Amino acid sequence: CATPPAPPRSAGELVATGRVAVKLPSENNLANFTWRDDGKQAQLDLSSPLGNTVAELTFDGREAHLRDQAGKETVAATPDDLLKDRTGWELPVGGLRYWIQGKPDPASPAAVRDTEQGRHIEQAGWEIDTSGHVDAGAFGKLPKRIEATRATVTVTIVVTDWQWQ
Amino acid sequence: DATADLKQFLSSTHSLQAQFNQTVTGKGKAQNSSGTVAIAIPGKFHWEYQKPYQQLIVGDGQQVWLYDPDLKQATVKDMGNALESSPAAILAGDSGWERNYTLRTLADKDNMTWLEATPKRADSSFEVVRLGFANGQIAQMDLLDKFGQTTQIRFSQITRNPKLDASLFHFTPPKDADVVHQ
Repeated sequence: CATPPAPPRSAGELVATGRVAVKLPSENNLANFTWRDDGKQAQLDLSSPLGNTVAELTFDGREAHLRDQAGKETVAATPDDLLKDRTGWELPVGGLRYWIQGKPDPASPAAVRDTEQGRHIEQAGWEIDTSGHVDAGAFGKLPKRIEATRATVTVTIVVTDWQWQ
Repeated sequence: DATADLKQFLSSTHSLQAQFNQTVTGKGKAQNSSGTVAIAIPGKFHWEYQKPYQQLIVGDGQQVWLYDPDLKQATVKDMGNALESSPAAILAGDSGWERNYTLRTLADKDNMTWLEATPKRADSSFEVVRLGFANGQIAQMDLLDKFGQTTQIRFSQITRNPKLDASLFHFTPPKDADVVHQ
């Protein structure tokens, strides 16, 4: 079915804190995260349960910056490969920016349908399922759990807390 | 002073049980969590986050397990970089303090004596660790990372040298959890 028009974005900022896990055949990563998105720039902080940051990734439509634990800064065109090269984390960050809100990434075609628990999105080879919604005013219904699978990679996100202004 | 407190604490403590409250500040809203900790020196710890979500970190002396029941995922890594996952690894550490950290006593504050431990390894995930002692007993731990985040952990209801069940320091992943060695 056709992609529903993305709701008009208010200029406010979204902040999500929670935990993310990536399951690969060979490796398995688990971390806490803080996610910020003001519609222009998005920032992902990965940290240990203890709160110490492992990586800080910021990106907008044009460029991605990553600062790692040793304080080293790296710049690249897109966030996904930069994060993987510098930290080994395999996260479809560009897409997750929208999937975490239960919406498709406007950059590529997507099939979206509502399900009992939330939404099912198929996009860029990924199958995404969201569930457990929070009503976030202008931002609409935001999911508490997002699972994205592509081939042998499974990404699971549990949002502990949504903040929006 | 605090260095003496630490030495005295480590030498007279074989095991420990306590509640902890953790607050992470530095970027945006402070994040609070709480839970319980059990430690058997050397090297064994059971660090359990209970609120606002559950996460379990178990050091069995050789390896450190991290398990998240919501995500149904567990990771396990060698004890070597255990500090990354839990401050209990610091308290449960054997006498490695001098080898791995440069210790410095700080001025007393909030009626605690303070010890600052700076990791000697450059790639440590923490810039500085500060231990606060109240009458010879560990009461608080502050950890500063390299991104301006500060993790403050306050211990309460501390029992020194309790008898602890060995099963606390073993982790068997539930059937439905995915486990991959890192």
